[in-house]
Formats: sequence, C-alpha cells, structure tokens
Amino acid sequence: MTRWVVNLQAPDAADRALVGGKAAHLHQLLTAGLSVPDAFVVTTDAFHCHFPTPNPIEVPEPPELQATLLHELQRAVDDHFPESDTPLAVRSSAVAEDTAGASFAGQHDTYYYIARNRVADAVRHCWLSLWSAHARAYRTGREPVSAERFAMAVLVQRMVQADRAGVCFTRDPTGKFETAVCIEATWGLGAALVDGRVSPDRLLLSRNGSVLRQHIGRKRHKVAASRDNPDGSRLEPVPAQQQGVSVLSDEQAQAVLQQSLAAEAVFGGPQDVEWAFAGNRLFILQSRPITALATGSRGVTAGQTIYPPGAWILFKPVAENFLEPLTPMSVDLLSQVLPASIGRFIDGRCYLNFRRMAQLLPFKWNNRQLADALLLRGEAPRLKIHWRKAPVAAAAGVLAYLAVGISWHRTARLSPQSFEAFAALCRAVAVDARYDPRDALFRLFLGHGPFESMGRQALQANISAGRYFLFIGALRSFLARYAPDFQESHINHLCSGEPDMRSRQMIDGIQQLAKVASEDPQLAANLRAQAPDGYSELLASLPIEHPFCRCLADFLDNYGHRCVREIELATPRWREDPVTVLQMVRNYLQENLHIATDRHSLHLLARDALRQALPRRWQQRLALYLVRRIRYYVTLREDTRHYHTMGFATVRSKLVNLGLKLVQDGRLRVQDDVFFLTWTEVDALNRGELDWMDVAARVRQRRRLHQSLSRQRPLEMINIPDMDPTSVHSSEEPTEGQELKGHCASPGTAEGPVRIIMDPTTAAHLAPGDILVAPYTDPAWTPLFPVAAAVVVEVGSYLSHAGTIAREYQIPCLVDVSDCTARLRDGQRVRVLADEGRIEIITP
Amino acid sequence: MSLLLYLVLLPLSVWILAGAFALLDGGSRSATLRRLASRLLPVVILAWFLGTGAILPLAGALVTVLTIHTVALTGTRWALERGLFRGRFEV
Repeated sequence: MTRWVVNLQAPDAADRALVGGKAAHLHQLLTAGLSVPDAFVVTTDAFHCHFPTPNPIEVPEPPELQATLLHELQRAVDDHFPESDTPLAVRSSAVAEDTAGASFAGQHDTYYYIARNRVADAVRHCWLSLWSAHARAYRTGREPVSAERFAMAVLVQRMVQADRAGVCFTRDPTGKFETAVCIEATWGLGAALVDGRVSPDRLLLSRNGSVLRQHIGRKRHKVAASRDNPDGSRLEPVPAQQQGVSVLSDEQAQAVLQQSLAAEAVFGGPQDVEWAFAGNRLFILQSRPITALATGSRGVTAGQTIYPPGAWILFKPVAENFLEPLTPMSVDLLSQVLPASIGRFIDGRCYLNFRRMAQLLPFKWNNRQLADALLLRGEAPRLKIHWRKAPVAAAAGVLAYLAVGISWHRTARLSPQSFEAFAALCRAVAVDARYDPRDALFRLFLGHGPFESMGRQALQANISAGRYFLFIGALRSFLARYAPDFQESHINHLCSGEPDMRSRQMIDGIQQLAKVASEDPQLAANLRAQAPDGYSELLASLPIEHPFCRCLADFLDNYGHRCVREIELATPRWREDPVTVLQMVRNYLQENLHIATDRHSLHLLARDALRQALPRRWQQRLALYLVRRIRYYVTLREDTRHYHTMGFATVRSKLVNLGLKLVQDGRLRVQDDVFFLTWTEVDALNRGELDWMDVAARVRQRRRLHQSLSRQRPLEMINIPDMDPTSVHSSEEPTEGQELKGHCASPGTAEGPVRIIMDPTTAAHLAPGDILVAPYTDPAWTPLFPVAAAVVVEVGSYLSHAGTIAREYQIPCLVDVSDCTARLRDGQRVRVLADEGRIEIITP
Repeated sequence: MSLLLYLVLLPLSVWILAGAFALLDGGSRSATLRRLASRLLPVVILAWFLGTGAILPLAGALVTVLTIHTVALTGTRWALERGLFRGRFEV
C-alpha cells in the first residue's frame, strides 16, 4: 500500500528509504527527546508515483500532482497544523543526503513561510530540485547514486520564526582543537549563514562548556523571518547596534552545546547541527554527519579540492598579510595578471610554482631548503651554485635586467611626493565611466607605458623596494666581518627610525584623533563607554563642524582607502566603515596612551656606536651607505603600499557601484554578490545576457565554499615530493614551563599577559604591556603595535609587515609561531625571547 | 673588440637610460641632470680613448636596451589585455 504521508513521530519515519535522510535523522532526534519542530513527511512512495523511473541525468517534465496526494496532503496539514495562519517550512529530504560521504548541504530546495494552500506547489518544487543544475553539479565526480536511492521525500514543518539561528559542529572544523565544539550564530534565519552570506559569530567551546575562543563577526545582513521571503534569499540590513553584538547569551550557547552533543550521542559521530531560537525556545532543525572535517591541523578536506598537477608552495608575501581565502572576484581579477607558469590560485590562496622556482634558482638546494627559502623561513641556506642550471639562470637574469633594469634604477631615488601622481591617477580612474573594474585594475597596476612617471607605478616600485633585504644581508655580512661584537639592537636602530614613513604617520593620525577626542570630555567618555556598534550613532550625533569630525574626515581623506586584507576587493575600506579606526582611538583613549619613543635619538646613538666599532673611514662610509639604502627602501616599501592599496580601493568602489546597479535592476539580490562571481559573469549580467536565475546557484555554492575554506588553514605545500603539506603544527596547548618556537623578526625580550586578537575590525582592545598574539598582520593592524610589549604572529617573516613595524618601534617580534593563536590563551603570562626565537609560558 | 665593447656598454646603457627616464619622475630636476651627467661621464671617457669606434657599439647598446625595455612593457600590457598570462580560474 502506498504511504503518501507519514507523521515524523511515527515509527515509519525511521525508514530512511521512505522519508529521506533529513527526516529520518529528525525522527531519531525527536524520539531521543530533543526539541524538533512539529512535522510530517511526504514519502518517497509519493515521489515514485510521480516519477516512476527517475533518471539522475535527464531532467523530467514537472508532474501534475495526483488527486490522492493532494487529498492526503490537505488532511495532514489540517491534522498537524489546525491553526489556519500557521506558516510552514517545506524542506527536501533526499534518500542520499546527509550521509557520511555526501551531505548535499543546500543542493536541494527549502521553502520558508509557506501558506497552507501552497504546500503542494512547494512539494513539487522540492522534488524538481533533485535535478537542479547545482545538485547535478554536486553529484558529478562523486560516487553515483543508485536508482533506489535516487528519490526524495519532503518534510513539511511548522516554521520556526527564528530571531537567531546557526550551526554547531561537534568537532572543530579547523582541526586546531581536536575535541572542541564550534558554534556559529547569526541574527534571523540560518539561511544566510548556511549560504555564507554573513560573517557569523564563532564560538569555540570545550565539551564541558568552557569558552576557548570567541569571535564576534560583523553581521551586516540577516534573512528576516518574513512571509514575503519564501526562499530565504532576501537579505535585510542588521541595525548598526546589533552588528557586532554577540548573538547568543551564555545560557543560549550552553543550550545549543548540550543539544548538539546529545545529537552526536544519538548518531555516534561528529555532527553538523542546524539550530534556531524562537524567543527563548531552542529547536534543532537538522543534524548531519560532518563530511568535511579538517584532519589534524592540516586543513585537508574530504571531497572538496582536487589539487592541480604540479608542485605548489604558498606565496608568503600575500599569506603573511592574511590567511583567509580571496573571494572569487578577487581571484578572477588577480589571476588575470598572474602568469600561470609562475603561480596560481588554489582554494582562494596564491601559490607559487615550486618546480619553476627550482629551475630558475641556480643553487644546490634540496626541496626542504628551497621550501624554507621560498617561505622566507629560518636561516638562509648556503648558496652553493648549481653550475648546470647557472647559464639559464644567468641568461634569464641578464634579460630581466635589460627589460626592467631601467625601472629598477629609477626607483633608487624617488621622493615620497612623487606617488601623489598615483593618487591623482586613482581619482581620475574612479570618476571616469570608461573604465570598468577590470580596465581600472589594468590601468592602475599594469597599463604603464615606458614613458610614464614611476610615481604612477606604485606597485612596481613596491616590488622593487623589496631589495632592501639584500642590503640588510650585505650590512650584516659586513659587520660580522669587521665588527663582530656590534649589537643586534644597534642594527635595528640603525635601519629604523625614518620619521616620514606613512605607517608611522597613520599611527600619529590615530593619536591625534585620540587627543582631539580627549579635549571633549563628553565625547571621550562616550567613546570609552560605547560599544563599537554604537559608534555610527555617536558620530551621527556630533555636529559636522565638531573638531573630532573634522579630524576624522582629514584622517579618512589620507587613510580611508586602507583596511585589513587590502588586496581582497570584498573588504570594506575604513572610509566606508570607520568603526575599526574608532576602536583604535578608543584603545588609545582608554589607556591614555602617548607613544613618545624618541626613535631618531636611538638611531643617532646607533650611528655613533657604528663609527666606534669600525675603525677605518672607508668601513664607516660603506656601512653608513648601506644603512641609508636600507632606510630608504624600507620607507619606500611602506609608502608605496600606502599608495598602491588606493588602486584596490578604486577597483572595489567600481565593483560596489556595479553591484548596486545590478541589485536595482533586479539582476542580483545583494550588492556584494558581485564578489562571488567572475568578471565575465558580472559583465554578462550588466549587459543583460545573464539574469539572477542564471547565477543564483553559483553565488550560493561559492559563498558556501568560501565560508568552508575560511574555516581551514591553507596548506603551505602541495604535491612537493618528500615534504609534509604543512610545517608541523601542534594542537596541544603548552603547559607551564613549555615553550613555543618561532623566528625572530625584531629582537628583544618582553614579558606580559597574552592578548589574542584574530581580527582588529571586531576586537582591538589591547592594554599597554600586553603581548599581541595574532594569526597574521597587515598595515591595518599597525596602530596596535606601539601599545604592545611584544608581537607574536603565526605567519610572517623578517621582511613581513609585522617585522618591519615592530623593528620601527623596537618591539620584540616573533613570526612563524605555529598555531600560536590556538596554543596560547588570553591572559596567560608569557616571556617572549625574540633573539632566541622562543616564548616561555610562565603561568598557564 | 666592438662586440666586447657592446656587451660592456649594455649595463651602462641601462644605467644611463634610467638617469634619462628619471627626468619623468619629478623631484629636483637639477639633481637629476647632475646625476645623468655623471652617468654619461664614463661614456665620454670611453669615447675619448676609443674615438669614433665606440660610437657604434654605444648606439647599438642604447637602442638594444631601449627596445627591450619598450617591448617588455608594451608587450606585457598587450599580452595581459588579451589574457595570455591568464592563470586558471578556481574558486
């Protein structure tokens, strides 16, 4: 006998073949006593009556629903949901979904806020989503679904009118904490989170409920509980005062934890649990096995990435500024200028072609030595020439010198003002409608003719300024030979202390803002007391002629194009969202900081020491020449970065405007959807050749993938023979007396409490004397440095921004300290011995 | 001899042309001109010693460097605009 519908509580609902994976799981949770919304299931028997011989490849015609089904449906709706105005959720429950091998997460349709008379229609749409383009794409390359498992039941639930929702992984998906539970939460329905449309709060809890890590995301949008939003695709803005506030209270987080662990106990393995709160009542909406769990700390995911042939190594100069994957639009545009033979983007991260590097570098290095050199890690290996490779390398070097030597020499003496030409070019391109985002990128970074001023070639100047490390190497070798007792700290004082460096002026700008704010006691008190989310209102309440507003406007005029993750085009700039700036001002205000180290005096003292250490005049002259060159190139590198990031901000502004236009035309749902498309797709949308329906699935899939990749640590090496994919990372927390190891980027010793900051846009409070521990740093982190007693970062090198700025402020800095953000804890007292490359744990 | 001189003059040409191009980069014009003059000095000394025999290698080296530099920059732009450097897109 055909069973058309089954009550979720009925014993039949345990039969996966009859009710599908999702409903069978919910039945198990329900019988285990967990809180699951009322529901019934339209069975796979009903599906087979309408699709007698379903074929996974051939898309069928939409069927007419049989009268018996319509009758049974009506009766089930009346029985289960007697109130006439009950909104319902209609959700797919395919037989093959939610298994350990394939979750089919988000591949089939779900409809929210369905009225009783629309349920039949929604059921038919759910069935047809079994053949949707993205479901077919998901099945491609996986184990084929057998004929008997290619069927779909449909779950009809009471709609949970969620005011907060999220997911809970009963194992840390990053793999850093083997047994920890990770909760992600956002406002409104969970659809926005599951689809990767918001940056959720991320809470890492031990299994007994203690908080290990908490990251509050900036939740700018939510999917509101609303009847006119049946597919959950429409986002609405989250009020400013809620964006940076924790979604879950402690009690709510504990409730989610307990219910999720109970679900794990029911199924006997790690679960990915979807939950929602309606008021104070928690509902479990779904539970499925985790299919993409990181293995240890390697970040290898099951069934997602097929790595390209060849050997690849992470491009450290980008990775040391941020580890998150780039969005598809950033990857697409940047990959247009990255020669495939040299590098490529894998999982949104930039990698170098390891074999090509091995061919080009004429040294007798094994894979380990070459990898360390490319990752700018450890002591440089001895340069033993490989004579067979030497002629090719020499020829390539000579040709490169003839091709770009002119530009190289031109960057040797540039005034900082010359780059104002680039700023002017950015302004001109920004307002010139002839440049679309791609053309703007080309014009600003690559479209330079041979007779163009170097001041307009900020990126090229930035790259060539990297040669300062050659001068540092030369200076160190020279001093090692002629003044072996010369102190390391003197070398740092010699090479730093350039007062006009843009990064330092930016810190001065923040200090100036704090000074102006402190002159208005009311404003200072408000800034100190106000949570960051109230800053927008605070600013709006000030008259425009208020000195602080004028000072902030001046600051943003100069530095408004900066932000964290500057080459990521999807990142809002400080001009668009000055909350980070205000947080740093607040930091300075709260601690009444005044950074007044007289670095120039230290530099002059070090020069005197150099003169005394080197007896001969030619030695002094040569050493001081090297020092001048180092100071010039370090400043050039920092200053050109200040300018070339204007180019990325210009391209972003064009993309944002285009996104807005496409939203107004109805071709996109949300403005930042543009960042999850390729340029070709956006261009086609703009020309009307594509519509939202053509790209909706792609956007959704890429957002989800991007979110999944964001949780994972990138592999340092891919397919390099005899090498582990990453350096060895320990997930264990060190105990008292243990130590962590890294590489010295700025010497010195400091002791203090650990302050872990994962993202300066959401948490930037650092007290003087704290040890700043971060996953990476880029220029937007700079204002935190003068406050810190020492800086410790997971990824970086002597040449990285962290090292450069730490040396400027004579702060000890350790880089490449594996998993330090996971292995250290907030408040833990540590001693950083940068010269020795280690951190001692004083108190656990 | 001419070939050897030509090869020696290649890096010198890069240096001289960089000095000349620096006139496009703003900054102190007189300092730039002084620097350019100092870079031309070795060429003048060379010409003094070698006479007219140095002119052809010098001109050849300057033209070679200028050509390679121009082709490299315009060629790169041309190739980029046509997507010839395009890495494979992955998301």
